[in-house]
Amino acid sequence: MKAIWRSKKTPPAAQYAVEDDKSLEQLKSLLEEALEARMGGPSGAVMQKIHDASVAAAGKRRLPAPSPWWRPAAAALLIAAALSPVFFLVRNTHEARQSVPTEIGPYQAVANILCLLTVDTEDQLWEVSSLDPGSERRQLSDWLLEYQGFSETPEIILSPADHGQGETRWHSIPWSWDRTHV
Amino acid sequence: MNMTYDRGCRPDADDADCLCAYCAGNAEALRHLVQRYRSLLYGYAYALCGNGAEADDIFQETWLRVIRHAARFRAGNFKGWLLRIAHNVAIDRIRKKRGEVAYDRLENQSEAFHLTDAGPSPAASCETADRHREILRQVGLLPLPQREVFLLRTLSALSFREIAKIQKVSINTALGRMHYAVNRLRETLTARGEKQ
Repeated sequence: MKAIWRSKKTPPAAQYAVEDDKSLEQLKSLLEEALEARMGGPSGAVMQKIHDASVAAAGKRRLPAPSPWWRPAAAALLIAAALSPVFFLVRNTHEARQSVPTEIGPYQAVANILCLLTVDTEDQLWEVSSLDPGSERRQLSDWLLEYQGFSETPEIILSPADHGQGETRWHSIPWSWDRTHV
Repeated sequence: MNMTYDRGCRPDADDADCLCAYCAGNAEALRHLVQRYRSLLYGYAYALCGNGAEADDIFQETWLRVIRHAARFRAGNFKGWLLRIAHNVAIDRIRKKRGEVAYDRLENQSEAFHLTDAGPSPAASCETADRHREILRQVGLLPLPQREVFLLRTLSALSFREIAKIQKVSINTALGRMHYAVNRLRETLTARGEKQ
């Protein structure tokens, strides 16, 4: 009995051949006609809200337009060119810090960099900050002799104009040396 | 630009391409979809709840959910997906109003359907306007699950398999609901026609 009841409640699909029913087509056209005549449509405010939301969401999803193939390569070259002095400086700073005794102080590291950078220049003019005319000058001389291969003490002349001009004094140190020792 | 992006920009591009283009950032592609399904979705919402303001809300919320979840759409039937979202929105709204009622328990809630409309068009005769009103009223008097199957089948021509998926019932249940809906409408509309 239960099986029969079930078959009536949920009959097989073939039992409902509603697709072939002409009255269904009539119902469909009547419904469409009625809806078209009476329902109007979504309000302008609703359409505007959907539009605004879709534009806002699309803006977040928008992907950048693909660029020509050469643009990334050119950009990489430009960046490399711009950064190469920095790499050079960083490398030499590192080397300088490795070779300079810590007790000499940081300014010698700067001096070392300048030495490396200007090794082919005929007349050297160094500018180092906070160079004290006394002990630091001596330390620099010792360091140049010991670590930079100078055979004799280079002449270190402090620019007289810069003496006692405050904390940011800069000193010119013209000097010469035997290149073969460098 | 890729091909999908290009195709999605055209009004005649297929639904999946439009949605794909929209996901890639082309807002115009979604506009095509909204226009394409404007009358189907609004008609479904309107005939389901019989209320213009309610239909507006369902229409709006459905598209907002489409926008939010566009990336989740997998290749397939966009129309079915859209109507499944609309069904969920409608059911959420109905439950919000009536409390946590299971979908099947809404069988006897059809008296809650109150038909409002935008008014007859100036060209429609009084008799035609009455007929339109009566048809919509009779559809509105169907129990909600039957009404929905009838609307999904007649307005959107979805397969019963898809309708069953939307209502989360077996295909036989969907077919049964359609059968009852059509029989009832046929009876009531014929009886009314004979009276007149």
